[in-house]
Amino acid sequence: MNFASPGTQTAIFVCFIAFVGLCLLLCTWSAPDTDDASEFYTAGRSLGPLGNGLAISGDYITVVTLLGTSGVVAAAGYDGMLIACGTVMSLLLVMVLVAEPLRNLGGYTLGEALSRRMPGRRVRVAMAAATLMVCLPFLVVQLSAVSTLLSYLLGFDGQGAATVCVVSVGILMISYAALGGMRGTGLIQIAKIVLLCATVVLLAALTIAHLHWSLSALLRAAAAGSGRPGAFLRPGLEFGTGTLGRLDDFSLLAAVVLGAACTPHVTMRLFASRDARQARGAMRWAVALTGVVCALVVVLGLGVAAVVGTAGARPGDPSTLGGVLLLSHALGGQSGTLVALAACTIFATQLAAVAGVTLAAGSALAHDVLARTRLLRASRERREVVIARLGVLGIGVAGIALSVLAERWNVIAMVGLGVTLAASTVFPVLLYTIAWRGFTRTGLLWCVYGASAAVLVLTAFSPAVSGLPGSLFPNRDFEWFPLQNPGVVTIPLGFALGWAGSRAGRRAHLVDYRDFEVRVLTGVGVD
Amino acid sequence: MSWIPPLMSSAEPAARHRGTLPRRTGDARPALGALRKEARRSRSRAALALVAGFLGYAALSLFAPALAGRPVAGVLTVGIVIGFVQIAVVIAVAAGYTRAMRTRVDPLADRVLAAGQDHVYFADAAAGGEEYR
Repeated sequence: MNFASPGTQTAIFVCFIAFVGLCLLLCTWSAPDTDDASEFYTAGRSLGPLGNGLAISGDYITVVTLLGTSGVVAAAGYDGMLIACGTVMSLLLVMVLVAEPLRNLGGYTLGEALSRRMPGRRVRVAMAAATLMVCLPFLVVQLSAVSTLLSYLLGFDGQGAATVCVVSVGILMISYAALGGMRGTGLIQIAKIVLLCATVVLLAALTIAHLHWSLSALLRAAAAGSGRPGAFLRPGLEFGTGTLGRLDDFSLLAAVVLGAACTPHVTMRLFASRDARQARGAMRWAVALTGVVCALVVVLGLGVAAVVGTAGARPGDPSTLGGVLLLSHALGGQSGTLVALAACTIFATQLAAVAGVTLAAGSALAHDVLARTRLLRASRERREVVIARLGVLGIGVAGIALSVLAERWNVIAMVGLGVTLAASTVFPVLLYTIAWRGFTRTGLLWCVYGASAAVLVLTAFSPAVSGLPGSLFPNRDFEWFPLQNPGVVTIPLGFALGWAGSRAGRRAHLVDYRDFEVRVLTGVGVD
Repeated sequence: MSWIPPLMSSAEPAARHRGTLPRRTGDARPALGALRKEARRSRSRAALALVAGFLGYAALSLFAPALAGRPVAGVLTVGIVIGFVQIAVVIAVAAGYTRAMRTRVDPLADRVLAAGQDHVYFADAAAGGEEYR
């Protein structure tokens, strides 16, 4: 489908090139002139609370929120509002539970922070594996959304052209992440979140103005436009109103609230704060900004249903991603400026998210695994940055390859996989490490490997992969696990495995717990 | 810091040598105990309010849809009204947590740090904490 006139397409193209150029400028201008590892991984801890808060919310609010959540609101109404609410709650939960202790532990990656309590290679490899598993679905979603949007804007349906776009955009952003490190991507995130906020505020204001500044008129029009006026403002449209559908929905929401912000690209930004109190201040800014954006995203989703109409749309289908563009087209009329602005914002969001997620995954691979192999350990400090850049490039290439393969998969299912993995592995491990004295290395390994294997197996045999029209393989049917989102099983399983492993394994006290506790509470000795 | 007993008595030179805190001084360090208690309390309170509030809202919406869908005024239903209440919950928890940390926890952490200035553990850790690398 193609609604953009040639003039609009030119405007979009100019905006796009301008943003790409701006990113390049930011990256080269801010690029460290030394091969200092701390500079690459934490930007030298130079951003203040406001700057870091903007960067955290920039890393946290991705295309998944802007287009995915608004798409679910547009297609399923009430269910989408629950997801938006859970997204804000999750970041706040990370702020109150783990942000400050994690910053007090210090380091560059999750693996290094946890190794303060459990030194050794196995823990770091396990946390790197968890980081990669959580990051890859996010990366794939961001990249595959690029091609969906380009087909909306430029009007080509060809698989080949879309693949070329995904690959070239992916390579561009990955080289930004590899070049700029934490400071470069941080500046990109700040530029993007400012643009995103401005656009979302403008679009939401125009939407409400279109409906005569009346919230109830908006709700009524959205319910009518969805084609299911009776059910739109009630729960159950996304997964059905049967017991299993409800359980599936609950499962997704639990995974979102516990896992969405426990993702490595968000936690990595915490290490870039100067100390725990600055991390708290940064998280406060981030939560405030995320709350405003999520509320406005709900308004946009309702606007899509009310102004454009979403009768027959299936929640999470890649086709629902274009809703915000269609809305800006409908509101902007013939001029096309609004479409160009919205398109540019979406591209900026995608590019920044690709850079942020790739950087987090690549850092974990490089810092926790590659830099500690015997081959590469010599002359570490100097080579560490080179290894980190290689790690970022490697992850990026893997992400591009996967996203070309999984182009038409349900976005919500893919994101659901990422947040379920985070909620079942990273969240229990962080909570136990910070707050439970009896937690041991065996418990950590059981939790990370056991729970993630459970998530992957249950998802592979769920309707998200086979058996339904919206599945990854709609023509095959090997599903036996009834829920698309296994979180309701795997989150308790992660906690149980962490507990059982700690009870079963050898209780070797590698680090004196008192010392560790002083460090968690006060941050003494943190670099 | 005169009101805080020394973190380590001179009767335990072995501990000083290893650069770790002595093992049997838990009751001799009220500042650390108080810090642990206050930090745990403000964190768990905020987290519990969030998780219970949100999952309760989700469970009500999904498993009692008749109640959540009951109209209040116009198009507003009970569920949508609770959704607005969640916004208030976010603001209240963020503000309450920040205030609790600033007024109760931060001063205690400062006291623990001040008391430990001349302690061998802090000196070691500040010098790089090499044993954790």
